[in-house]
Amino acid sequence: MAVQDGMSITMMPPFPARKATYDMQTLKDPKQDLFNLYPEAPLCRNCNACTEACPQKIDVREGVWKAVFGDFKSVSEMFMDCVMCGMCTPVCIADIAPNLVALYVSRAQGAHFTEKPLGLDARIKEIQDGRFDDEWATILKMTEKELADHCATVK
Amino acid sequence: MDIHALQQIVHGTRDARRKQTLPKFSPADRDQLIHKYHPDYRERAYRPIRFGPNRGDKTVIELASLLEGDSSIADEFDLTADYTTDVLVVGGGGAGCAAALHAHTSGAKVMLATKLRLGDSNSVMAQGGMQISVAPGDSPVTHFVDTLKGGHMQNDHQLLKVMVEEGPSIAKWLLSLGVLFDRDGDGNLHVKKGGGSSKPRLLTCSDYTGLEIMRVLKDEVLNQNIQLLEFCAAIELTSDEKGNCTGAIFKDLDNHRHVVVAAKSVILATGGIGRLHIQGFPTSNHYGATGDGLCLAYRLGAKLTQIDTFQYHPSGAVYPEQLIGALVTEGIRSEGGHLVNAKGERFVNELDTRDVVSSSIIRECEEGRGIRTMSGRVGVWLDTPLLDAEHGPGTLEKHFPAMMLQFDRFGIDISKDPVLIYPTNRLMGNSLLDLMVFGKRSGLTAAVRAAAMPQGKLTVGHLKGFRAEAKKHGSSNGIVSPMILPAYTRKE
Repeated sequence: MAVQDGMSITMMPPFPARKATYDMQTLKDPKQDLFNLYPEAPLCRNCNACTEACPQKIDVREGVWKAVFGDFKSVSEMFMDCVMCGMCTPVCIADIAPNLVALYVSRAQGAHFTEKPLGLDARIKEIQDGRFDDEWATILKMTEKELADHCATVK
Repeated sequence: MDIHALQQIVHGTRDARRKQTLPKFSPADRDQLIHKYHPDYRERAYRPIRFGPNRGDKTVIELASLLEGDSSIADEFDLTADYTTDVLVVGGGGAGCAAALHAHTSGAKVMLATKLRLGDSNSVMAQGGMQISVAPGDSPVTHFVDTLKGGHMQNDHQLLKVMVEEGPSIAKWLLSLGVLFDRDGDGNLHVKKGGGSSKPRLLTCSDYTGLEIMRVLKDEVLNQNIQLLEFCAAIELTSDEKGNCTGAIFKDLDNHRHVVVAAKSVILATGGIGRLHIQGFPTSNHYGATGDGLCLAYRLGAKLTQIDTFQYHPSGAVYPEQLIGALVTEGIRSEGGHLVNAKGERFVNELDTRDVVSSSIIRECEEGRGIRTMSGRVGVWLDTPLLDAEHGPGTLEKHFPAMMLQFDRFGIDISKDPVLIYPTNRLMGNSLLDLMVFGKRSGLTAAVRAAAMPQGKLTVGHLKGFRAEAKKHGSSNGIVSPMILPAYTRKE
C-alpha cells in the first residue's frame, strides 16, 4: 500500500523553510513587521553554521543580526551575492531561513528606505506629456535611407 | 603550452595598449567582417523548413528539425482538464513572472507552469544590466536609434518604440517591488555605458542585475499566491475547432504523467534555444533553454519571425574547462577591458556592437592568432587586470563580485590574470528590458481577453493537419519535439 502507481518520490528538505507572504508595497512599518513575518529571526544563537554553509561567502550570521537590529541597508548590500540556494537554512539550529529573511529585508530596503529617483519620475512624465512626440514623428516618417543616414550621425 | 606562460604577453603589452585608441570599423568594413565571420552567415548551418507556417524559410538545422518534429500526443488523447484557469503562463523566467504578475494584478486567475523550478531561467544570469533611458542627456528616441543601429536597421519600429517608451515605467515598477538598482550620490539611478550605445543607459545591480530582479519577481509570484506547476514541461497545446489555443498539455517530469490545463489565454514565455547548441557553439543558457514554446506554437499554426538570426555573446569563458560557455559580463569591456590576441595586440574596438566584436574574435581565432588551451579550445584574452590598473586596485572586486567569485572557485584571480574567452550563443539584445515590457503587455492583454471570453473546447485537432502535411513532405525524421531537456550522455 505504501507505493502506488503514479506516486512520485521527491527528496524533501528536512526542515520547514517557511516563507512568509507579504504585500511589500502596503507594509506600514517594515522593520517592525520583520518580527511578525519571521518571529524566529531574533532567536539566532550565534553558532555561525549559516556563514560556514554559504557558498557565496556571505557573512550570513552577521546579516541576520543586522536585520534584527534594523540595519536593513547593510543587509541588502551583504546579500546582493545571495543565489537563494537555501544552504543556510537546514543548518540553522534556531529554524531561521536566513536567505528568506534577507530577501524580505532587501526588498523592504529598496521599496521603503531608498530615495525615490527624481530623474526617473521626470522622464516618465516627459513621455506621458508627449515631450518626444515631434522627434518620433520625424523619425517614423523617414525613409529607410534617411533613417540610416540619421542613425549614422548619432555617435 | 602552459596557460600561465601564455598570459605573460598580456601583462607585457598592457602599458603600450593603454595609450592606444582603436577606431570603430567603417560601415563597409564592418559588413564585410560580419559576412565573412559571423555565424549567422554560415550557409551550411542553415536549411529551409519543409512545411508548416514558415515553409521555405531558412533557419539553423537544429531548430528546423525540431519545428518539423512530431508531437508525443496521440489524436485520441484524453483531454479532461486537471486544472482550469483564466491565464496560463508557460515559463518561469523573467518574462513569465512579469506576465503572471501583471495578469494577476488585473484580476485574472493565473497559473504559472515551468518545466524546472520557478526562476530557473536565463534572466537570472543577466549581468550586464538593463537598458532604460533615464539619464537627463538621454531619451527614448536615442535609445531607439542606438538599438536600430545595433540591429542593422532590421528591428520592427513599432515594437521597438513600445519597448523604449515603456522602459522607464518598468524601472519604476521594479523599484516599487524593492529591486535595488545602483544609485548615484544624488539618489538618481546610476547608468553605465554599454557596447554599441551612444549614451550611458544601463541600469545595474552591480553584476547581479538579472539575479536581483528575479529574486524579487520570484518572491512576488509566491507572495501573490499565483498557482504554480513546477517540473511540468509543456508538450502540446490544445485548440478549439477554429484553431484558437485553449490550454496546454504538460508532462510531469517527476512521475511522467500528463497534466491537462484548460485556459482562456495562454502565454508562451519559454525562452531561447541556446541548449540546442546551434553550429556546435557552447552556451551560457540555462539547462532548459530548448525553445519548447517555438515548437508548440509552430504546430498550432503560428508563423515564427526572425528565425534566421541569433545573437552570439562575444565573451563566453573558454578556460577553465568547468566554466566553458559561462558568460563573462560585457561590463568588463564597458569599463575599458581590452581584447588581446596571442600576439598581444588589440584587434577591435571593444565597445563596438556584439556582432562585430564576436565576428572579430572568430576572425582572430580562425586566422591563427587565438590562444589554444590544453584541451584544444581556442579563444582570445580579455585583459581584466587592466581595470584595476586603470581605475585603482579593488575595482573588479567592487563592480564585478560575481565574476571574481566565479573564477576564484578555480583558483583564478581575475584582478591579477586575464581570462580567456570565445563567443558563445545567446538570443536577444536589450534582453532584460525586452522581456519585462513584453511580459507585462502580454500579461495585461491576456487578462483582458480572458475576462471577455468563455473557455474554448479542448482538442488536439490541429495535429491532424500538421501530421498530414509532415507526411506529404516525407518528414518522418523520428524526432519528437519539444526537446524538453538536452541530452549530454555519451552516444554509444
